[in-house]
Amino acid sequence: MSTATVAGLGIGAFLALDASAISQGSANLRRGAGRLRDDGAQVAAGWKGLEAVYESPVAPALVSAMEPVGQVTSGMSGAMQSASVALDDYARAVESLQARHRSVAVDAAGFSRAAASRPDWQSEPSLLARQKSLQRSVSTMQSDFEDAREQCVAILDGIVAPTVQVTGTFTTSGTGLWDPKKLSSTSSLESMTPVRVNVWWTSLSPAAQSMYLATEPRLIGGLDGIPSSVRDMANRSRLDRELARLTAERDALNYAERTSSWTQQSEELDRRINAIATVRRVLKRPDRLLLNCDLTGPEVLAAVAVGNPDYADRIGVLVGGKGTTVEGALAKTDTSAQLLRARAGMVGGYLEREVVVIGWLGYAAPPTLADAASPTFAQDGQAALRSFTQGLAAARPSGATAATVTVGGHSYGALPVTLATQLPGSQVDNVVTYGGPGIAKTLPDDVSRYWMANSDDLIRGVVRSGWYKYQPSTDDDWVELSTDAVQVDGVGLVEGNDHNYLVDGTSTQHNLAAVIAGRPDKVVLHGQG
Amino acid sequence: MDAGWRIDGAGVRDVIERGDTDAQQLSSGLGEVSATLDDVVGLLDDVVGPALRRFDERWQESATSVDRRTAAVIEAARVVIRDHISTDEDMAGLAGSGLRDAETVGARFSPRISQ
Repeated sequence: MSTATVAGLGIGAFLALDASAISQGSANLRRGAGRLRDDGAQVAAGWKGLEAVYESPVAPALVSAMEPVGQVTSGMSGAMQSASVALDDYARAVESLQARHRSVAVDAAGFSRAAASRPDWQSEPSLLARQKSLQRSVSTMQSDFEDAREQCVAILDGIVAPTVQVTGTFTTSGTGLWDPKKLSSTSSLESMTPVRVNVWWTSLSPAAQSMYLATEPRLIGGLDGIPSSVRDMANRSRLDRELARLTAERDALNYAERTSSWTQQSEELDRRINAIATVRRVLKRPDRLLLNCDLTGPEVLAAVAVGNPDYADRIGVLVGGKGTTVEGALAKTDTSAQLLRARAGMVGGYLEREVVVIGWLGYAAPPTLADAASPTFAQDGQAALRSFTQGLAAARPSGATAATVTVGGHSYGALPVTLATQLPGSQVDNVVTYGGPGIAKTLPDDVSRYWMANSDDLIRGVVRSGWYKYQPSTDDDWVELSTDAVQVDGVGLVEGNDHNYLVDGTSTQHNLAAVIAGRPDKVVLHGQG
Repeated sequence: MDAGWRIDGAGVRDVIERGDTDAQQLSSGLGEVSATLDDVVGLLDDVVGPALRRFDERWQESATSVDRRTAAVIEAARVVIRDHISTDEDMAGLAGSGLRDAETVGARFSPRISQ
């Protein structure tokens, strides 16, 4: 006779844990984190008292040197709050598992007694079914415990602990070295692929997600793979604060503008302030999502979507060329994106929400024509653009079909676009370059490729002068599209001119729209116009 | 705005000493949280415990950077102020009048700190 037992009962690792002690420890961490935030703020605020009693050219730097302490302790406090949320969730899961285990143990004891009274219990279907059900409960508890552990580990491993620079010689080399902008932070999240980022994010509890949004908006807003609406929320939440901070920083410089280096710093701050102001203006337009707003580098970088790409069937990504900056070109790019979206919807017969066009100003474009002779800027943008398009695919809701992604590169933008698409797994279906000085030579076979060049575009001179070795060619399956005035389905389209390709009603805009819409039958080929 | 030179010696010393006290309190709070983290790690299993330990290591890095930063800023302030006041004293000696601890206003000279 075999013993009536339930395998695995009583050996779950969660049984050894003290859930209430973990909860208590978590509460202690939370309290400690709150005190830290207050203490850090007190250090920074008290230090500002120096302003009233000391004035000299180094005084502003001496006073502002302590500001990062308040900011970093606030960030550390937020990080600890996130950890405590993860631990609370974990303790609750353990507590619930232990309660379930007690209930299963009672049932198992009842089952053992019933089986003991029946020497032939193994031929009794109801007892066998009861044993099987108990066994299933034990297995489920084990796997639920594994899930709870994994979720807790994912949150803890993703928490950023901000640091502040310690070294520096601001007292002997002028003000500005202790710049809050130079606060560094590291996170394993930033090295994850967009797919893994999405898995991490969707595994978080709503409380943990809210905590991240509140404490790490810069990180969350910049992570490819996070849902677009979440990125938008995170990025928007930073704009007012950043604007206020930069404005204060600029105003603090005014008194010392007599030397050229200070003036340069003031102009730099003006540029950044203008960039944020431009982003805010563009976001007042309807149906916009701010998918990126990076203020950490020398150039402000941004990406604004017209519509929500997570739910779109057709996505267009516009990448600009020489001189494309957020402060100077975002508004125009966004207008072009809106008009292109409408045109693609019209050409493809899509509802508005089914087509989304994004202005991606996510790389530092060459500022001058001379700079545009170097591929360095494009190479620097290659990984960021590829990560962005991968993020578009990763952020789609579970079960949603993949969108068709078309990336358009204007002028120098043709280089980062083709370079990014060259990398494996870019998740790009079509590439269109217009007015480009050259391209990356090899694209994957499954990427359709089109190009346009207006007859009077001065870029033709750059192409002839051979700045870039590789040009679109039919040998490499590039398809040249018409830029001439044409009639399509009874609609008259005007000729593209100069270095402009996205002017509403032009054949060039129509052609890009037709590719985005996935209607190759509607594109007008070169020579057909 | 012009970059003037003005120092209230007693006021500056007071701000620095209070800053030092605040920084020590912050440092002690950082230590307490670290100790609590240690305790909590001890309550956890062999999967979550190491994850919290990794977080603890990052946290320690942050805490150390904050601690060093506050100490560096306070020390730097002491040096700057000492330098400023001693320069004042030199100048006062030359001018035949005591300026130490008196509030002085103006742009008569630069202290001995290179810009």
